[in-house]
Amino acid sequence: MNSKDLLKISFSSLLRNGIRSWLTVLGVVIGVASVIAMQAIGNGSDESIKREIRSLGVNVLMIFPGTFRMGGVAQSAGSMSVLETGDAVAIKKTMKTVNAVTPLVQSGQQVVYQTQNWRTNVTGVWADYFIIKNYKTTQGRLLTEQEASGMSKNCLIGKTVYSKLFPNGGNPVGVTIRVGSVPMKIVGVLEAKGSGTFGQDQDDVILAPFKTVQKRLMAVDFIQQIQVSARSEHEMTSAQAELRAYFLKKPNMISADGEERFSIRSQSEISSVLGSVSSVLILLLSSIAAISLVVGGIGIMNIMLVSVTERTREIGLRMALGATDRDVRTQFLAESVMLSVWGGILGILFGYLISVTVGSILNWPVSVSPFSIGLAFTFSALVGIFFGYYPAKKASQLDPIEALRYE
Amino acid sequence: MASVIEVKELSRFFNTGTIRVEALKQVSFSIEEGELVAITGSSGSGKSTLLGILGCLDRPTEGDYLLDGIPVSGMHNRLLASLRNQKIGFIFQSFQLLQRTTALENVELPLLYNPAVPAGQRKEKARRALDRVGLTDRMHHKPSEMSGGQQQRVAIARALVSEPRLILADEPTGNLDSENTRQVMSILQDLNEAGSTVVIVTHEPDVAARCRRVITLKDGKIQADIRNPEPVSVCM
Repeated sequence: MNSKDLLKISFSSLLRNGIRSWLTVLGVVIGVASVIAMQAIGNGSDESIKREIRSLGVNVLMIFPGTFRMGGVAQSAGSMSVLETGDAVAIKKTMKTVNAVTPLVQSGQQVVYQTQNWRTNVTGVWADYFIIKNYKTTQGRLLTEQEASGMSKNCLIGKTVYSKLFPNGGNPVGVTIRVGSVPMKIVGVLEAKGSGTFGQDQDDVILAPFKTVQKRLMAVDFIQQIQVSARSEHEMTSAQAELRAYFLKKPNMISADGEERFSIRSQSEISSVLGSVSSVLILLLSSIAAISLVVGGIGIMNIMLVSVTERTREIGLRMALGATDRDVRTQFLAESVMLSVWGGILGILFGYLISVTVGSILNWPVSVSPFSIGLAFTFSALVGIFFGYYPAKKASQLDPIEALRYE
Repeated sequence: MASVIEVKELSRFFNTGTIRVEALKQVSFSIEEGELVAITGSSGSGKSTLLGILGCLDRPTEGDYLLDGIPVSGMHNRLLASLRNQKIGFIFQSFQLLQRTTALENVELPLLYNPAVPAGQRKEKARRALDRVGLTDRMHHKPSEMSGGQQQRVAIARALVSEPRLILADEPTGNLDSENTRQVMSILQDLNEAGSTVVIVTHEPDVAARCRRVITLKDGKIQADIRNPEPVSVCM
């Protein structure tokens, strides 16, 4: 029997059991679609992390007190007060590889304006912070160098804070709000930055002069972080080395058991930790998807076994008319491969649709790679061969005389 | 004339658990080209077993079977399949047509397994075979749209299509009324007149009476092998 006849026969016998064939195919469709979607969404989340790193500036370095372990749990910033404002001042004065420096303190505060109430994070920064983070305003102005390094009670609010305190709109510039126990004057509204990779709202923020937040709001001496931006991308390494040398020279920066009591991380390193967490998650989901493909394959095997039993007489007849065991086996194998490959094609289409939908909802640059399409297609064909082989072999081993008598 | 079938001391035993059933015991006969032979016998006489062996669907336990001069007894399964395909045309009691498949496609079926017939010639050959059984106008009908007699005629066309050396019919009229029986038998007789070797397994005396030779089996042995000089005519 030539392959064209084979395909024709297999196709028409699948058509004869239309609903059954579709339901069988569905198992493979779901499996392949989820593999494709998981791959695409995984790639998308990686890509979105990379995109965020780029938007944050590749040149940013952060200095934390305490240790920061990759992949482990970061100790809470500020748990050890080894960083001082003086360090930020010294770095700014002495280091040539660095073009912007700011100390950072952050505190959750209740914010009140007239009858509106909102809890948000207040971050104390120097004016360099706006350079590092590339901040702009939509209304009013940024804090001046002088304001930010002094004890001024002027502040900037993020878009979310604005919408919570001013539900009816209106110009907030010049308005005084109460932040914790301190009345502060709004000088500007920050341009929206949208949500971060993991959904945190980057606009739910108030920026105020560093010293005002540290001394007036929090009444502490330590600082939680120093952020630095290197002059250029290739100066990152030398800036990092210079910073390390600086802190190692300071007394008390090494603990009794020899661990450094500070850590310097670049934005990209932090994001790659988050990225690896998300790839583990994607890997897990992908393997569940692969399991569902196997379940789909078992569905094919089940239906093929039923089909062999139902068509015992047909098999007997074909054998009597001259079909060899190989002809019969190939026919049934072709049917199961046809089911699984059709499932694979539909699954790729559905997977693509799911990926595009998820991508547009989360605003991730989701991409279905040709590699994963090829892989899904090959795998679904293999599923058809693997799970179709046993029923096909069973069919080919029937005794024609008994098969013809089968009722 | 050459022997189409030559059976020498053929035996077939079945082992069913502890009991050994001897379905055929030392059967010998031969059938020449152009004969019309009925094999009869009561149920359990071994005629179905004999048919299975003659049709190359089964192998004898002992003895030799030569089909068209070819020794079949020790042949490999795949060669047997191609022998069935090219030398034998089967007709079954229950027609054995593929449902939801047109008459034409049913008749084409054996040609699918014959690499010697190019795909382009199949339709034409099938059409000619249907012509010979008088079903040209039913070519595109499915078995469910035809009467029992018509279905059996499709099956006869399918048996003819490969121009086999031997037509083997297993109770071809068993499921038919007398009118259709007459029709089917006259087609088989016509084929025989035209030169085909036809072997009919039947337990109906009416059917046997139309054949030139009647082999009667009893308990796995040939009880009688009678030549019938004047078979009941085609146009009775």
